[in-house]
Amino acid sequence: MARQGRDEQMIGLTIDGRPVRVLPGATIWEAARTLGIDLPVLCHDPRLEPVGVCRLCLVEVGEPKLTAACVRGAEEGMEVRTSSERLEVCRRGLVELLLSDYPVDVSRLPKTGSDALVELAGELGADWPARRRSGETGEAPGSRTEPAGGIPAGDGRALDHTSKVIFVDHQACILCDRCIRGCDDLQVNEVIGRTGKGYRTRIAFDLDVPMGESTCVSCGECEKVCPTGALSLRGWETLPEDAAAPGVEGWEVL
Amino acid sequence: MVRSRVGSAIHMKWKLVRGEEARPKYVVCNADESEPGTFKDRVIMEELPHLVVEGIALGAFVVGAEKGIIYIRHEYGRAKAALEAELDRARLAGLLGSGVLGSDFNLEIEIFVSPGGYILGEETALLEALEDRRGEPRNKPPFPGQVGLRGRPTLMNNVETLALVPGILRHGVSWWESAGRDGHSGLKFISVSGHVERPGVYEIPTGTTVAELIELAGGVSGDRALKAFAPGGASSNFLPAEHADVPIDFATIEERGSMMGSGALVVVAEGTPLLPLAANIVRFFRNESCGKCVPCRLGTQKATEMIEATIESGAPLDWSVIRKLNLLLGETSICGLGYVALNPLISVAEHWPGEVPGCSAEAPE
Repeated sequence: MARQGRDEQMIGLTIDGRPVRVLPGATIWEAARTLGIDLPVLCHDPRLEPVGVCRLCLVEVGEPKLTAACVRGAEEGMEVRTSSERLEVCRRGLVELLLSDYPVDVSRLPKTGSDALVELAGELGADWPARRRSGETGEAPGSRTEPAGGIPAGDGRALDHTSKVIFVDHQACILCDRCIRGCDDLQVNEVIGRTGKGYRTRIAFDLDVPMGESTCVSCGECEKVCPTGALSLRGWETLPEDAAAPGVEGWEVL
Repeated sequence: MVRSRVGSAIHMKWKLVRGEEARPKYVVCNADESEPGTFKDRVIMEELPHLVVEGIALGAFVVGAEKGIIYIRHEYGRAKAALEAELDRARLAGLLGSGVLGSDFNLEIEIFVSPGGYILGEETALLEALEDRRGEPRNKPPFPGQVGLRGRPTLMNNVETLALVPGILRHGVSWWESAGRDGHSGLKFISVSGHVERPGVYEIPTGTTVAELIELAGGVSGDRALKAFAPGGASSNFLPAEHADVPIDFATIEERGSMMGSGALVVVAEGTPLLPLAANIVRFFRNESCGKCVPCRLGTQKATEMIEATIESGAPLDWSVIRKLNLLLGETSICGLGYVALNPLISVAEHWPGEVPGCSAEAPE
C-alpha cells in the first residue's frame, strides 16, 4: 500500500520525448540522469546543493527562457528538450567565454587526467588553441591565456602557492562555487568564500588571506570537487622557477 | 487595468500571494531605485510618503501579511527621513501596530537601508541582501510571491505602484482609466533627464507622446534638435527622433522596439556621439554585475573591453563577437541585468550604424 502511495506521488514528465517518472523534489538534471542523459555541467556535483551558475545545463521547457536543469524542479507534464541548435550555440559560447580567461597551460590535467572545462571544449567544438605544456612549444608564452571564439583573452590573476598541499591558480577559477560548497557544506570547515564583485569576483580564504595563512586544514576536498585547474594538489612542477620561497604572485593585480 | 512598474498587472501578483497558505507573509516595498536616469520614486517618497505607507498597508491587508519592509537605496537619506516621519505619524494614529483601527489586523513596517549596489534592486537579490547574504539573484522559479523572504510568500512592488493604490481604491477604477489619454489608462510618473531645459519628475496621462513630454520639460536644451531618446532608463533601447510621436504606455513603446522600463526618459540632442554613450551604459552594467553567473560576469567585461578599444583606436568592432555575447547574455543569464546589458549598444548600431565602426547597416540582428 505504501508503495502504491509513493507511485501516485511520482511526477511524470518527458525528456527528449522519452517519458520518465521521478519523486517530488527531483530536478530536471536528476530526471535526465535516470534516462542516461548526462547534461553538461561545470558547477554541479550530485553531492552538492545546486546553484545554477555555469548555465551549461540549460534546457528548453517550452517557456520563453531557457532554464538550468540542475536547479529547476521537475514538474508534472513538463516537456523537456536537452539538445537543439539553440542550446548548442549557447553551451559552446559559454565555454568559449570561460576559455578566453583560461590558462592555455593548466596544471590539473597532467596530474589527474581530467579537466572538465578542457574536456567540454573538445566535446562542444569550442574555438580555442590546442593545449600546450611549458617546454613543448619551445618558448614561454607571453600571456597565459588566448582568445577563444574571437572573444578577447583576459589575464593577470594571482597564483597562490602558500599552501603546502594545494596550489591555487585564480586565473583558472571559473567561480563554479564547488570548492566553497565542498569546504562549507561537505567538510564543514567554512574556510572558502567569495570576495569582490562582477568580473573581479574570486574565491577567498577566511577574510581574504593567502591559503597558507588561512585556517585551511588541508583536507583536500576543494581540490577534489574543483572541475578545472584552479585548485590542484601541489607538486614541484607547480612552483614557479624563480620562486625560491612559497608566496603569492600578482596578488595586487586583483 | 492597473499596471505596475514593468507592466504586469498588480492584481495578479496580489491575488497570487493572497492565495498562498504559508505563514508568515511579507510585503516588501522596493525602493532601491538605481537605474541610471531614474529618480521618480525618490520624489514620490519625499513628497508623498503617506501614499507609500498606505499602499503597503493595503497590500499587507489584502495578502494577509503582518510585516512590511521598505527596502530603500542608501543614498536616499531625505526620502528615508520623510518615510520615518510618516511611519511615526501612522503609529500615533493607530494605523500601524497591533489592532489597526480597532480591528484584529496587525501590521509593522520597518525601513531597511540597502547595503548598496544596482543589482540589489532585482527582486531576488534584494531578498538575499535582506537575509544577510551576498546580493545575488536567485534562479527563478520559484518566484517571491510563493517563495520569497525567508522562504515565505512575499508581495513585492515598487514605490510608484504602491503609492497609486490608495487613489485608485478611493476614486475607483473608472477614474483611473479615464485619467489616461486617447484610450490609454492611468497616470505615469516619468523621470526626464538629459538634454532638456527642465529635467525633473513629471506626472503625465499615459498616451502623452514623448515629443509632448519633452516640450513639458522645456524642450531640447540649447535650441538643438532631438537626435535620440531612451524611454525607459539605461536598459531600454535608444530610439531615433522620428519615434518621438510614440504615445507613452507600456505596449506602444514596445511596438517601437523599446520599453517603458523604469519610467525614465533620457533625451539626447543632435550633435551627441552615441557610441560613447552606449559604452558608458555597458560599462555601468559591467560594474554592477554581481558575478554570480558566467555569461554576465564575463560577457559584460569582454563587451566593455571591445567597445573601449574601438573608441580608443577607431578600429572596427568585431560585430559577430558582439552578437554572440549579446545572445549569451540574453539567453543564459540568471537575471535581467544580463539580459539587457548590451541592448543600448545594439540599438545604437541598429539605428545609427555609421557611428559604430565595423557595423554595417545590415549587421545587427
